Amino acid sequence: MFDEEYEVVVVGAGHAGCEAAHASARMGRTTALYTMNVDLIAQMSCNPAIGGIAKGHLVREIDALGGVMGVAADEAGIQFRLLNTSRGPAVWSPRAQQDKSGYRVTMRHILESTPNLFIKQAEVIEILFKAGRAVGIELLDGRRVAAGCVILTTGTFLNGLIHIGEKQFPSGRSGEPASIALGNSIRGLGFEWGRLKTGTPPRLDRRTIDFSRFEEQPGDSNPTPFSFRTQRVLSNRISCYITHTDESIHDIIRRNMARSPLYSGQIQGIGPRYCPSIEDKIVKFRDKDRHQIVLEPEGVDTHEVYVNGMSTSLPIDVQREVLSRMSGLEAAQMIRPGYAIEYDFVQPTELHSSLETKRIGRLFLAGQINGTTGYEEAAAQGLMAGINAALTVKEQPVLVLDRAAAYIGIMIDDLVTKGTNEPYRMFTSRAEFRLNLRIDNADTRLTAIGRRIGLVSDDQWQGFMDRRDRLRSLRDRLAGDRVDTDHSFFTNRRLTFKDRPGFINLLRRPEIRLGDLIHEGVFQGEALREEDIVSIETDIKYEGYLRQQDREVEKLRKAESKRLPEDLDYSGMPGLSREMVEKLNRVRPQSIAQASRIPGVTPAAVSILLFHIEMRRQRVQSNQVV
Amino acid sequence: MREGLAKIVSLDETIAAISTPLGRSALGVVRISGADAARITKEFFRSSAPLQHRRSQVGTWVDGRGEAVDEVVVILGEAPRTYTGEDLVEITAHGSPLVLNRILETIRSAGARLAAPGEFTLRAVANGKMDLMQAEAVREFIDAQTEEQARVALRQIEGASAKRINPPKKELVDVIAHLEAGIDFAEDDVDIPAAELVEARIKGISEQLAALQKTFGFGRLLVEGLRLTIIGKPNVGKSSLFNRLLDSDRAIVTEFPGTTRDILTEAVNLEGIPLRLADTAGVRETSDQVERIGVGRTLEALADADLTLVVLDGSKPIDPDDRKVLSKAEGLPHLVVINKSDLPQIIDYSSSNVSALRVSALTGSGFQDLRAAIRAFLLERRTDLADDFVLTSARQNEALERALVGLETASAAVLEGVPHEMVLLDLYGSLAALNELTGEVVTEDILDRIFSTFCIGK
Repeated sequence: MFDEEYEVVVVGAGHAGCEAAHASARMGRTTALYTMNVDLIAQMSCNPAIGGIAKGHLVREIDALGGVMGVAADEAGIQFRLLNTSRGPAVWSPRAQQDKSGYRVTMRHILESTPNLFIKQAEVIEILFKAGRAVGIELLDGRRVAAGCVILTTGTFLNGLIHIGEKQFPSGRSGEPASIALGNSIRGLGFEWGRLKTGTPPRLDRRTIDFSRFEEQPGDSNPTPFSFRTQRVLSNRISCYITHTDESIHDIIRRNMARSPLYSGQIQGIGPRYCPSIEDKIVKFRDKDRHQIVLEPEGVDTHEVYVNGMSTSLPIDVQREVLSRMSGLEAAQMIRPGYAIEYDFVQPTELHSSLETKRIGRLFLAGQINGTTGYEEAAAQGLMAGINAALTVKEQPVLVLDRAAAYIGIMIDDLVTKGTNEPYRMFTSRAEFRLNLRIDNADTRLTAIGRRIGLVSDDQWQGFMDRRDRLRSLRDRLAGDRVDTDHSFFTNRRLTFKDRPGFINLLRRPEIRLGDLIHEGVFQGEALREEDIVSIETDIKYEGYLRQQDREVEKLRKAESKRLPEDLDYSGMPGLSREMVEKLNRVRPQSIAQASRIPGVTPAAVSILLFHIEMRRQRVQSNQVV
Repeated sequence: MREGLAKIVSLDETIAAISTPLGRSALGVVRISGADAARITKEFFRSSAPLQHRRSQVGTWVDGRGEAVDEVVVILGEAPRTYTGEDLVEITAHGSPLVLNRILETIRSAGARLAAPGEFTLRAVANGKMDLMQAEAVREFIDAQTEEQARVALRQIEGASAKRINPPKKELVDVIAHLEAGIDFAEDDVDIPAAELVEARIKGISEQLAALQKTFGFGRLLVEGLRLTIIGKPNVGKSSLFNRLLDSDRAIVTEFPGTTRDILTEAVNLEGIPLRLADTAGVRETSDQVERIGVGRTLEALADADLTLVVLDGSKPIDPDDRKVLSKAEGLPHLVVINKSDLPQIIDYSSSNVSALRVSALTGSGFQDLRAAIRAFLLERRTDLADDFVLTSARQNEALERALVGLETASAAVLEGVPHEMVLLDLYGSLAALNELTGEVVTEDILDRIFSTFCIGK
């Protein structure tokens, strides 16, 4: 009946699929990764960069759990910047320009070196299931592959439709076919589904650009890696270049607005508001007389340059006219035009927090199919789907990170609790415990979890324990030592003290930095690592705020531990309005905490749920006594 | 998703509530339940003997400064043998809302929070105390929830509080959106507003909310009624005045001084304003034991009143007893009423700050002016806000208070240069408090605000 058999099958080898397959295989499951083109594994379909504010947090967390995006991005990175350093460490986030082909090669190498992982080129046309459970997949060539769990990571390929001006044609990505058969088969499964839209800008030939007219944006002199495992010193190999549009360019776009499929009514899907096309920016922000454009090289061995900020679905002749009016791009040659793409997604309220679908057991979804956007968001979901498929195959309890543990947990909880109507992207403002969820403590938060489930390698674990010991001994030294207040550091700054404070008290002052104390010899620590200093100093400086958050975290965890039974009958619950019953039935929350987060669910409704489960618990207990 | 946690009643905190209906009754009960109930009680309860499980103990409830609030009876029940299954304290005091609220205030200042609707029952269930009458508990609990919903719904239909709170709240969302945009979109060219500007905007929001909070006093007057006390030396016609205002024969009126020995209270409606009238025993040096008790009560009622009418007899000259009465009212909100205008006027009264009203309880002359003066007094408390907004419950008042504290902390932090991701903690705290007063503002709303204000995205 089946031609081949694997414990876990992953469909799609983008950023979600790669993490999913790697995690599952690393955890010991025989895993097959299906892609329509093995040469395009880990392709970056849009901008040539990984990380960014909040996205960099996701990459750090993936890395801390034992995932691979961070390692690959450090390896293939060609320009590194730590963003938001003018603010507190909680919102610092790394970003790196990538060599696109280098990233593909690196990721493929990582996957090929992973035991139990088998890469396959084939088109998947159907999910096979039996008694409400996924049992395998069918390929276009007729083969049937048995699977303990199936993970779908279809990106923009499901019924993908590209728009360029008046033209539209089915495609999964520039130059690649869409997944029509699989798309139609998934539409038939009964999920609530919809269409989303995203876009990408034109790519130019760097030899035809006059860079002297742009402002250069170099990388950091001291690059920050994504991965806790990266030990080598990273270096910048390229710069980016900044310029702005002007009113004459806006005029061209306005004149041609009717030819944009976004405004002609041709595109039905909803696009992300935080990544608008250039025509969107001009329509929605009439008063803004200029918009920022950043030229980002797509690699070191190519002339292709990405025009960040110019995402568009305007016809090619208009794209060319717009570019030719920009200072420095007058003679620019376009290698590929920008385009918009519409694709199918499944409303993520169809998912459990494990990313398994509620309708079909053993079927997991990750990435854009769940309504998200971004490589990092996709990779984070892929990782969790891979972990949970691997656990489910072995009948082990799934791993769900809560909102206080990781950005990954926040993203998945947002998706499964609220659903989404536009491509979902991570922001730090979505994190209510933002101060606790930092890039410098991602390992403290998550590496032990990754180790427990068998994803963190011996090497990574050793590195983590070494760092933990370093942090502990640094903290001990700071707690034990007293400050020499006669030191020139203090006299130069006219700082006087009543008595000799401990270092910890001293560091509570915002203006005193541990780095400066070390640099000027007040504290011996030349051998200390920058990331260790940041971790310790942040914990000391923000202790009051962190404690305030800890109390809230405790409240959250208590509410998360109050589980709502799967078979709860909301419609039969006295006191709940029909509106509340509808909202609760759609999501079927797993805990009181999750119920409280469903938009529109009132405090009174939450109290009634709480009352109900307490009554139920009492009844169960008294029955046991009898 | 900060909004979720605020919806969940946290069962491990100590809670307190007035558990008798609002308004005046002979006795009122305040209940405290939770791990800190005993500790909090010991902090404010002075008695000759220590509290024992299920023994009622008489003593004095004092406030934070050690000043007596009321004579009370306290019963401590120790966990788990109580209704809620937790330590449970019941404080029985005099029924005055003022007294009960002050007791509640002291308890809250020591760390307890106001109980949510039905929460005592909820805790009883959570602690397995529902073997008595489960069905009864369900009904009680659901009723409490429904009542609260009905109240909230009513408020929303009226739209009054929402209309008033929404503008400052919107402003707060806007400030939050600006600070968040600066953090999440530092890569886009988003301008970060200067500290002084942020601080000024926060201050503006505070001022609006503080003005709303001032309406709390007025709102309470509307709900509970204006407490009006009538005082004067014996036989100046207090009870006749009382009856005239009441249009009834409730109080005993005799020719002999000192016949009103108890405080009579009566609710009346004065041109749409609820009024709680208290007629008191005449203030006079007396040897009569019974009457002395009455006089003691008068002074209590005086302290408890929102407005006092000092009654003088226009047909007689001012004497030391009158002066004594006047001096009692000194510093308290009061009106001077010269009664018996139907008789020849001998009185020689003048005061720089209080103008006297001349009335005759016998003929009813001057009562129109008196009623107008009482009404004017009440309306003065209204502040300059439109008629449609008043805060009426302690819960609303408490939420506003929390919002104000958060704003104050945030505005100080902004000036100190504290990073915005930390300042935002306090701003979100304020927003959560305002969410309790009007519909919820959620993370998505803040993002909406950001995306409609700033052109984000490269």
